[in-house]
Amino acid sequence: MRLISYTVIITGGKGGVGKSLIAATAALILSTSSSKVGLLDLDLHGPSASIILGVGGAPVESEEGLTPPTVDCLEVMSLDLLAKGRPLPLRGESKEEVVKEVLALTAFGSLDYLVVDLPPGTGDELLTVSKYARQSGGAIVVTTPTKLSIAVAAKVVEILASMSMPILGLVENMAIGQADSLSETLARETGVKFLGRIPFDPAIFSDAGRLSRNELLNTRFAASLRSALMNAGFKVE
Amino acid sequence: MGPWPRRIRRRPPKPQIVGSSPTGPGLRVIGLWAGKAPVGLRLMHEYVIARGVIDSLLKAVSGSGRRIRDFRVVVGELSMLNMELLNEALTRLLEASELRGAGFRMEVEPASVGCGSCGFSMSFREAVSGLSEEEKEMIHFIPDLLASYTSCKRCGSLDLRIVSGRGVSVRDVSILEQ
Repeated sequence: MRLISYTVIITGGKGGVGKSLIAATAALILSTSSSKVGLLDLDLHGPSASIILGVGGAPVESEEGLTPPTVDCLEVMSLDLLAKGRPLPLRGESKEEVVKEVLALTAFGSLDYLVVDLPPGTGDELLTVSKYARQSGGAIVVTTPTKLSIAVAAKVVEILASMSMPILGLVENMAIGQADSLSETLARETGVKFLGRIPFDPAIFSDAGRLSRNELLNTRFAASLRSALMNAGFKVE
Repeated sequence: MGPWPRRIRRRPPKPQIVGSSPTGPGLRVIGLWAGKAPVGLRLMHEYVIARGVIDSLLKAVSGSGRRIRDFRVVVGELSMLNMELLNEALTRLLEASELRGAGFRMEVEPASVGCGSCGFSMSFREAVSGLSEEEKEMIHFIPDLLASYTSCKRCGSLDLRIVSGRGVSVRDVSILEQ
């Protein structure tokens, strides 16, 4: 990870809030803005980055480790590419080992940004990655306008803060309306920057995984995410 | 050492003292895989491990005035270390350290796999038997992918876990009587 200038972890705690779609699309947006970018899918039990981005290849063995496949200019690593789409049953004790092994073995090379997609929950994946990324990285916390999502996001914010992991901000996905939302209230109360709302886009949720990368980049979803990334301080086109 | 062709080297396990308790005349030090060595250090694999072993031992006796007579190094089968090279690295680094004169023995701990559903225990080799070279290669990179490619030989469950054979530990450290 020492060749990686900055690590962006996409977390949120609650499942189904769109973390994977946000991580994959954010990585695409950054990679089209003249940055060398990698995407690491650490959703060990429900990996979806390779499906969203249509990654067909597998990591290739090299002297440096495992060189991930590239789509357009984006390097994508997912355990799913090694498991070849098979189920990956893992107990807690093995998860930390796997996360460390993937971090150590993946030869991303020199990157401006590594975007990490985390699974729901506040377990091994979040804790291990935060430990390694906190020196030169930040977290984007994803919520939806539901009370259930906010409750878990609040816990994630507390955990990240306790680990001195910088929080770039909170983004509300699947937003409905423009009124002051629970997500904004949580951001205010926790002192976390509110990066913006990504409106609910039925097309993206029904077609995610079927859209080409170019089509994905041209959705309303991607446009809103682009604004959120700019609010977080990223230079994006 | 492993049941697959060795090509690239996996992350070097770093011995680390996680606890110690007096056992008989010596001190027993158990190390677990901490695995913090960066990728670039893979080229120095065995030397990194040997350095870690010596650092662990030095830490164990630091400030006590005690001297180490001998110790045992247990190398997990899945750590994919070259025993000959590790032996050479340990010998050289020991002689250049404050532990000069200490003896050591090395042994391989076979990797074993347990089934969480029926409790069946099998060797790692048995677990991967029947897999293609390509499948073994994937497991070689990340051993915990095992259950993606195979299942319990007795009940067919995918709830498999690696019970032993990871990392490097330093055990049965005996102290020279003053």
